[in-house]
Parts: sequence; C-alpha cells; structure tokens
Amino acid sequence: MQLFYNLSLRSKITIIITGLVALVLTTGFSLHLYSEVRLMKERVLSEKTLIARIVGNYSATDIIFNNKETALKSLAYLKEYPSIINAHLYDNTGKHYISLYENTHEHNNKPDQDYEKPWHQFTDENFNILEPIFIDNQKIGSIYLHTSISDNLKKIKDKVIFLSLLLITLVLLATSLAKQLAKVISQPILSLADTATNFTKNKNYELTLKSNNKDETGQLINAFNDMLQEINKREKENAVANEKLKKNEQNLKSILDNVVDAVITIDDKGSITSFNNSAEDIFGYEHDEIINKNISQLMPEPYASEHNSYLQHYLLTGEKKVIGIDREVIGKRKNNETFPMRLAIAELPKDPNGIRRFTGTCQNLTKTKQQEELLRRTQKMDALGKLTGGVAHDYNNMLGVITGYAELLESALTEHPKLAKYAHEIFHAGQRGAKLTRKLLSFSREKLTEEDLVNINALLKDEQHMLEKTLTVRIKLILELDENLWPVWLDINDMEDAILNLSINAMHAIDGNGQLTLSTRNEKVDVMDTKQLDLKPGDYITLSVTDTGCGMDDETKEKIFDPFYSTKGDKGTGLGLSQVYGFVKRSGGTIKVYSEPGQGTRFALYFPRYNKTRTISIKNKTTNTEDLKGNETILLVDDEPALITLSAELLEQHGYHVICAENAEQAIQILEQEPVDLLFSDVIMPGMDGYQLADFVRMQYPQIKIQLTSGFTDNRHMNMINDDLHKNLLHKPYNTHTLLQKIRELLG
Amino acid sequence: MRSKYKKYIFLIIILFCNSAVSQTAEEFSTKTAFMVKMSYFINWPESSILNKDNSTFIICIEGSPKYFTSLEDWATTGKIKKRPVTLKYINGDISELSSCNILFITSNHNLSSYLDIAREEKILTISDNPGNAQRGVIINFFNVKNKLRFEINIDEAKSLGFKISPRLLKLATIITSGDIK
Repeated sequence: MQLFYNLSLRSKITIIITGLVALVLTTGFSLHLYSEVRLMKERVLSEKTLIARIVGNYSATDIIFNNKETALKSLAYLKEYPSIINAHLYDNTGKHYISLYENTHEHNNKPDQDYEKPWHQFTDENFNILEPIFIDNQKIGSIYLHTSISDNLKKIKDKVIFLSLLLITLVLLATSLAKQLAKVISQPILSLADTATNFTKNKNYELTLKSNNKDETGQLINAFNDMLQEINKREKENAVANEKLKKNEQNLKSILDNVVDAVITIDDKGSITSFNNSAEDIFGYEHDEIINKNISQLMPEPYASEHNSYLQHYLLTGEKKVIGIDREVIGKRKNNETFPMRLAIAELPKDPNGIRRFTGTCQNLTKTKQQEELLRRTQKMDALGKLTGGVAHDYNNMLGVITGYAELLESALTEHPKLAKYAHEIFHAGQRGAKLTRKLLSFSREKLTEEDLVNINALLKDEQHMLEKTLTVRIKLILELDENLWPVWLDINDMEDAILNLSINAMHAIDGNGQLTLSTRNEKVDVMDTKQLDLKPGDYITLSVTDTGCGMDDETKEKIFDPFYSTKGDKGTGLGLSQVYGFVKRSGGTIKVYSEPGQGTRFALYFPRYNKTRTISIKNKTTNTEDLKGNETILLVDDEPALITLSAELLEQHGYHVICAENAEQAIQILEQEPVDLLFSDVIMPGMDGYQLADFVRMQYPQIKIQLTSGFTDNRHMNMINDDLHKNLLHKPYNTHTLLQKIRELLG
Repeated sequence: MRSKYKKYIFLIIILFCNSAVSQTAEEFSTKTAFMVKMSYFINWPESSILNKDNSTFIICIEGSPKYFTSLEDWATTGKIKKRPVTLKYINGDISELSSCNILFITSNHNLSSYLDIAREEKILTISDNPGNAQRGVIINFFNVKNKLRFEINIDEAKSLGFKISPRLLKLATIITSGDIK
C-alpha cells in the first residue's frame, strides 16, 4: 500500500482508472454471462417443459387407449428438435411404455422421483426433464426428455471468449485514456509544483502560471497565482517594513551612541540592561563588563544607597521622589574617580516579559562646573577692570592737566631755574602717576595700545641676557623654542613686561636653586577646546612659563590675577599678574595656570596667530618743536575744560588759531560759522561722541582734517569706526611734542 | 379424489388384464372402460339433457345386464363430468331414452328408432356392431388383431353438436357421410 502512495499522481490515476474499468467491465461481463447462463437454463427449461407437456398431453390418449403406434407417432414429432437425444413415455404406474429411440436404454436412467411431480436436471452437457401427464386431474403417465445443451453451452463459451477479448481491448483503451487523463490532470499540478519549488529555492516571487482552463485546475492555478501575488506583495511590504525598522533601529542606536549624555537602562532590580557609548566614555567601563551589574556600582556612597532606596520606594509606593526629576549627584568611574553629574531617571514601558524598566540619563558636569567657575571669575575680573578703568580714566585726565601745565610752567620758567626744576619734578611725578595708571589700564584691558608684529622667539632671545641677570645664577633659564613659530600681533612693551613679571614671580617662588623654562609652540584650538580655554577656534601661539617653585594651592590660584593681590606682602604691588592678565586678554588670547603646592607652577599664555596685513604707521621722529608750528585754525572738542584749556594754550603757543567746544553739538554750530582746518576731538563725550562727530565732519566738510584723542581704547567702537582714525588715535596723556607732531602730519 | 381415481384405475387395470368368467363379459368390460375414458374427450351439445340437468350422468344400455357387471361396480363410485353415474337398462322401452346421456347399443334391433330419438335428444350413441357407424351411431367399437379399436362418425357427431377432442380422434377410425353406403 505504501508503494502505491509513493507512486506519482499520474501512475495513481492511471492505475485507479484502469483498475476501475477492469473491475466494472469484469463484473458487468460476469453478471452478463451469469445472466446468459441463467437465461439459457430458463429458456431450456421452459422450452423443454413446454415440449414435454405438449407431447405428453398429445400422447396421453395413446397411453389411455394403449395405442403404442400412435404413441410412437406422437413422440416422432420430437425428432424435429436436434437437441432432444431421446424421449420416453411411462404409464401411471411409472412403468416404461414406449421410447422415441428404443435402441437406447436411457429410460432406465429415469430418476427415482415422485412421478407425480415435475423434475428436471442440468448436467455438464445435458438437460433431463420428467413431466407428469394429467387428464382431467388424473395422472395418466409421464414423459421423460433427455436433451443436450451443448449448443447453448457453445454459444456461452463463444460469448465468454468474445467478452474476454472485449474486456482486454477496453482495459487497454482505458489505460491509454487514463494516461492521457492523468497527464491532463497532473500537468498543471506538476507545473504548480515546479513553480512552487522555483518560488521556494530562488525566492522568485514574481512568478505566475498561465492557465487556459476554467476547470478545477484552472481555479487552482488562479488561486495559486493569487497566493503568489499576495506573498509577493507581503514580501515587498515586509522588506520595506524591515528596511524601515532596520533604519529606525540603526538611527536610534546611532542617536543613543552619539548623544553626549550617558544613557543607561536598568530593570526593577537595578541591573544594567543597556549602556551607550557616552556611558562607556564617562564611566570608563566597557559595555560587556558592566551589563547585568548593579547601577550602584556607578555611584559612590552615600549616593548609591540613596539611589537604591529611592528606586525601591518608588516600586513599592509609586511615589516619585527621583523619577522624572533631574538632580545633581556624584558619579564614580571604573578607576574610582568621582565626578559631578546630572542624573535624570524616567520609567520606560514594561518590557515584553512584564518587567519594569528605567532609563537614566547622566550628564557629566565636570566641564560645566569648570565653565561656571571660569565665568564667575571672568565676571569678577570684568567688574574689577571696569572699576579700575573708570578710576584710571579720570586719573589720566588729571595727570594730563598736571604734566601739561608742568611742561608749560617749566618752559615759561626758563629764567627761574629753581622754579623750573620744581615744575620739572611735578612733571616727572605726573609721568610716574601716568605709568601707574597705565598698569591699571593694562589690567582693565582698557589700555592705550601700541601693537606691532612680533616674533616671540626673537623677543625671548633679546630678553634672555637681561632675564638671566635678573634671575641670578641660582635659577637656570631654559628656552625651548619652536623654530617655526607663527608671528603674533601685540604690544611688544606689554609682552616684555609680562615676561619679566612672570619671571620675577617665578624667582620669588623658587627657594634656593631652581629652574625656569620658557617654551613656545604653535597650537591649533578646535571647537572642543574652546570652552575649556575660553578661546575662539583657530591657530594660537603658546608661551609657557614653568618654574620649579613652591607652587600654589587652589585658594591662591583663584586670586592671583586680582589687582592688588600679592603673596609678597609689602614687596609686591599686586598689579604684576593682573597686568599680564589684562595684556593677554587684550591681545585676544588667554592665560591658564597649572600649579600644585610643592610641585611648581606653569603659566600658559595663548596668543592668536597673526594672519592679516596691517598698516604700520611710520613714525618720523622730529625733536625740534619749532618745526612743528603752524597758523591753521584748529577746532578743539573735549568735555574736560582743564584739558581743553591746556591743549588750546599749547597750540596757540605754536601759532595755531584755536576754537574750543565742550561737546560735539557745540562744535557743529561752530563749524557752520567758522572755517576750520583741523578737528581735534576727544572720543568719549556725553551725547554725540568723537567718532560720530568725525563722521559728520567728513560728510559735511571733507576738507577738514580730523585727529581724535582718547584716554583709553573703547572697544565699543572697534567694529564701526573708521580704521584710519582709530589707528591714528592720540592717546592721553600726550605730551606737547606728540600732539604737535600728529597735527603737523595731518596738516602737511 | 385421489382414492376415487385409484379405484377407477384399478377397474381399468382389471378390464385390461381381463381374466373374467366369460369372454363376452371381459370384452364389454374393456368397451365400457373405453366408453368412460372417451367421455373425458367429448363435450355434449348445449341443448342436450346433460347441460340441462346436472344431477347425474345417465348411461343407458340396450342389452343384457350380465355383460355390464364391471360397469355397474364402477358406477357405484365413479363419476363422469363430475356427476355420479346411473346405469339404465332400456329393454326396448324407447320412452326411457329421453333422460340418457350415453346410449350403449349392443344389438341392431330397432336401431333406427333409437338413433332417431338419440338425434332428437342429443344422446351420444355407442355400439359394437360392424357398420353401425355408417348407420348413424357416433362411436362404434371393433377389433383389429385382437385389439379393441373404435370408429367415429364425425359428421353425425358434428350434426348433433358433439365436440370431440383431436387427441381422441387421432386414435379413432373416422367415418364421414361419404363412407355411408
């Protein structure tokens, strides 16, 4: 049976149809033959019964009236039937009366039967019948017919042979037809199977089957095609969805891996289930070594216990003490370093297993704290700078008046040498005061600048000898200079002062023998460094001043740039480092201090690389003020009456016609009435300032030359002012020579 | 029925296997046995007394009763046409004939008178004298080679309205009107 199941569908159909046809035909033919035999027997029986009865009846009177002659004649009619072999008549006692053919003794074979009952018998080739003869219900005798059925049997046999041949022919025909039918049925199934195999192996979902039939196989193929289309459609949708999902996952992962903050997920037991790249960076753990560890490992005590108790409390009560709230805590790295961080915890939806999950976002606050500190200090320094700047500005104006009049006095007292000497002393004292003011302004960054292109290496080499002398032999000076050092744009005098200040501080810090290293190098500051260094991205030159001195504690380090702060007691002015600080800031750079008590100190000064062409004013120095005289009309504008009077005095002494105005508005009114050759104006004035006045004059009176003067550089005007005016600015306090020289240069 | 047939058959066997007292009695015994059997193969005319009166079947005999003892014995139980049989000896009394169904005539004395009445009354006439069939008797016995045979005047039978079975006719010698001399 299993063998049959393993056969191909085609073979099965062929076998089944052939078998069924053979079975049906064989059964039909057998029934037909059986029926034929039965019919033949019935026919033989009825025919022979009829003959027996007719002849018996016909012979009845022969027996009754005992007339054998007529009886024989009666029987002689049976000779017409070739199938009748013999016939016998018996009387009512059963005794043989007469036979058709007396030469045989078959009548003796008459069965021992109740002679009143009809009897018949089929043998292989014979049919024998005994039929009683009745007249008027009285038994007269009986007739016995011995017949042959060989003819009938021959017909039956012929029919059997014919039917057998017909059966074989029909079965063969059925087999052939069944094969064709099986082919018709199995062909679409085989092509379906081929397509399905192709479909499965090659993942070719674009396949379709052609069907011209509208029968069941056609419907099957159509359904199969529909199924393929549906699968194809679903495959495409799945592919698109998978691609989208994959992209989303990648996107999400890259987002998580690239967020600056550490993102950590934990389960309800506090076990870490995910740890992003930033978390690895911040905490110093590799992803695989921290997964499944408890979150408390990432915090020192008491934060870890506190965190656990908060979490347990939330899980038990649902009270949100830390969930959804960000707070500052202390984190712990793998190397047990601690750092400030901002921790925000949120509850995630439960995972597929129903376990509650939490996500923690940790922001490293180390840099933020540093920035905050820097900002605080910068704000403090700015406040101090503004205070000192304001004071220094007023001082400058007053010193200008003092030195100016002292100069005038000195030149007027040529005939009284003693008095002239007093005036000269006043002048020098004013000069010293101006120097002190300059230091204050240097700190406040509101200093008069005389910037130039400087090679720090060359400067250090020039200063080396002087420094070595200053530092004495107990301190060894080492220069580590970058040969390809970029040039910088700064005030060379300030630079010299800064180097000297730092070197002297180092000397004071070194007790006994020591070493001072001055090193330069080029440095690129990128975006990442800007916050830490408080610089814009770009190229910088660094000058490091490193000593092997006593170093500083944090408290000292915080105050060293404050003006008037000194560790040297009465020996120091407290303005050295604040001057350096102001100078570096003013030059667009920054200064960093690295120091540990007992380990020494390093100051790192950053200056921006010079990369622009700047016009450098050519200073033609003339020593004789006699050559600086003129007769042009000069309009003086200044809100400081003492200074304006002084300047007017000086200029008038040198032949100039001077008109004075206390503010810009007054100056404009004068300009409308008087012809003026040169405008000499202070920059900082109430109302319209010097630059605005200069712009107005340029527009309205382009022939008038302009000279501006100021106590300090006001950075507010840096971006809007005419560069030439700014460059040519005359810085207060100016001496007579400088003033006259500037004016003569302009008037030609 | 069966016992009756047995008796009847027994009688016939006795008649056939005759070892009776006299040759004549034996002869008549066979003839009367034939006569009884013949009645099976003959239908009487519609107008005959047989079809009017269905009480008994009357066999009238013109002859001596000593020849008909076996018939008499048989008639006590035997039936013809499902009726009990009554024997009636005529002895020349013509008036007795009207009730007869069969008239057995042993002598030719006053034959024509009998035949006239028989024709009128539709009576089956039987005799055993040579030439009687030609004279108008319907069935007449005769011997050939010591075997009893009979002849039938078919025209007479037909004219009276008797219907005789072919099976009986095939055993008889058929006498027609043309045979009458």
